[in-house]
Amino acid sequence: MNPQLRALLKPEVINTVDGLELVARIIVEGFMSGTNKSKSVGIGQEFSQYRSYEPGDDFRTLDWKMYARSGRYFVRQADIETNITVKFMLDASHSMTYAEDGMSKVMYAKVMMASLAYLARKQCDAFGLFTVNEKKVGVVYPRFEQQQFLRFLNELVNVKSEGTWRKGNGLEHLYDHHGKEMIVFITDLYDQDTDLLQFISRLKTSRNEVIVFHLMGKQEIDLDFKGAFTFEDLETRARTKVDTLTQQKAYTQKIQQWLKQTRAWMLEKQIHYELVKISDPFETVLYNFLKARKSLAR
Amino acid sequence: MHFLNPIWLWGLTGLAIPIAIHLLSRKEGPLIYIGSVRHLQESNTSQFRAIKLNEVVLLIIRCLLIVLITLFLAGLQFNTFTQNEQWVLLEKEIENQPEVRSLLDSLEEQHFDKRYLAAGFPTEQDSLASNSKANYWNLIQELSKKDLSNVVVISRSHLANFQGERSFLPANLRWITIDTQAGEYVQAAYKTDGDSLLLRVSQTNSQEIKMEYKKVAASGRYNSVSKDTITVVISYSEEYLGEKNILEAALKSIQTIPMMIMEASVQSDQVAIAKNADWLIWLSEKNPPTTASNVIKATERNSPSLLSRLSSSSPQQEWSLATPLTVEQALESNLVVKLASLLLENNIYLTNDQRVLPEAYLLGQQDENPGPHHSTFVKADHWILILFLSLLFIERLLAYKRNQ
Repeated sequence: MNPQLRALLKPEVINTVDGLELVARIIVEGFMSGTNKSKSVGIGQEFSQYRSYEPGDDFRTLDWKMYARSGRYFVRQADIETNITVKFMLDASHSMTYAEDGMSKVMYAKVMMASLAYLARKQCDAFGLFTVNEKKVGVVYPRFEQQQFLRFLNELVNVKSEGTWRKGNGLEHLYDHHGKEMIVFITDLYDQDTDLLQFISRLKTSRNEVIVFHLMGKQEIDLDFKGAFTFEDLETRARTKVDTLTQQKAYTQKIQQWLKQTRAWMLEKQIHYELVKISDPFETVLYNFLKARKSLAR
Repeated sequence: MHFLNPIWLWGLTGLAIPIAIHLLSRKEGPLIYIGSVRHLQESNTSQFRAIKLNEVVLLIIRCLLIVLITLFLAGLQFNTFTQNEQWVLLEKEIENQPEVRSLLDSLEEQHFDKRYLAAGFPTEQDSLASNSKANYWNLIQELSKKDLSNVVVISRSHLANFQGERSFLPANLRWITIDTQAGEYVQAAYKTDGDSLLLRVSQTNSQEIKMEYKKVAASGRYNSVSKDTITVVISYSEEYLGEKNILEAALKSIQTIPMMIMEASVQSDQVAIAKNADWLIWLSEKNPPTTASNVIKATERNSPSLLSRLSSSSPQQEWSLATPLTVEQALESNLVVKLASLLLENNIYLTNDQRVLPEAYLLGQQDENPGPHHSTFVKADHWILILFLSLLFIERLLAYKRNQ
């Protein structure tokens, strides 16, 4: 990760609208610098090029004025404008406050979302935000407006991660699908009775794309502590005494198996699944996002 | 063991702190918050047991540290075992009383040295062991200067032996007062007219002494004494006629005291004074003649008391009598009693005074300042500090190891 960016990733920066926007801009602009415009052409408002008629082309795309001028059939092509809706969903349960090296999962998720939203705004996508925990379901409905980004950031800054994932009802409006949409779900996948997986599987339809970013800490995966410790569960407050030296091997195996199972389950449901360590640079995340979006635009 | 400031021992209650912490947090290692503990297993490994043991050792060391700090503040001192002399002091007169005997025996078994309570503290073998009257306050002072570890004094604590400035009992001295028998003692016997004897008897016990006179038939039991005769001469001029009458009456009433034989003569100041008179009462403007007798001289009233002593270099006493004197004044200020005590002063003495110095005088005055006997204690500060620092070092080492 860029050290200058790293210096900005502090709670006091990230927890302000301006700071979050700045961080998002730095990430996205740095990532997007040197890119070209969309390569795909088709029907659209903005003219791109003429191409000779080939049998099978839609007659509606024939440019009759061009035919009058030149006597040959030309097909008019324009940049395809893909207006899709991006729904960002955040697991705001208390387990997301897990932190390593001063960077908590929820902070990382906020920066990710701000960057992705910035990118979406650049691409003229409508985007909205849903934050879910036991106590509150924060909603910013998807729109394409100038103020939407600020509204989005404001909601994001005020997210408090507390309690557990919402059990039972109250999430129906999150499943409300219409049009082309892309759902970005950021979570640590610490659920109870697979309620998170059920939620994810309900999100997925044949018409939309769901990308799940699974946030994990490096030590969470490796159990890289040396000695005996008491671990406290952030959500259930359950305590466990663990001698990490003897358990490390069994633990990492268990974790890897869990990750493998989750990945297989997602694949089966045709859900994009990305494991993100909270020490990873944001560029990988953006890349994965764009890859998923591209598959939707096709 | 001995503490300079035992109040600091309350600091030992501070032991509750590490023990409470230990009991409250014994089950916890360093706490780490994690998203979920679902993938972790409770482990109870040898290392955990080692940590528990480590904690117990740490607890003991921490408790010891607190104890050491407390002892340091309380000023722990150790008795050095250099055996100093121990004395038991007693009056020779009571040596053979059975209770004193048994007390002495038990003390001598504890290696007490027997000495007599007299100047120089003579032993039994000393020829000095005399009956000489000593002032006990002085003896106590001398004792406190000596380097003795323990002193027991057995005494009748007669009031007569305590004279002059009071001194303090050193802390290593125990004063035991032996009860004295109340008794009746014949102080003197006077032959009166005929065959009867006048006895001056004192009844005395530890609290009081009471004098009375008894008239008995003469027998060989008492060595009768003929009474001293005091001659008093009143010499007066005409201006002091009133005073002369009052004094003459006073002398007459004094003459009725049984043991007094007083010859009082009254004469004018013109007449020459008999040389052998004991007292001369000079009631005149003129200067009294120089005689070998004590003089009571009439002077203008300028002192508040009726009779006041004049400083005089000669062995004779010189007193001044405030004039003019009226009967009322004489009665008010007890002229007769004063005069009598003046005239009889040398003739009354006491033997066998059994009054005892109240115990509170001895007990209430334990010596506050540490005397020389405190030098037998050695401060343990150095050792405590060294022990404390080394324990602190070990504690830090263990604590560091425990937290890795």
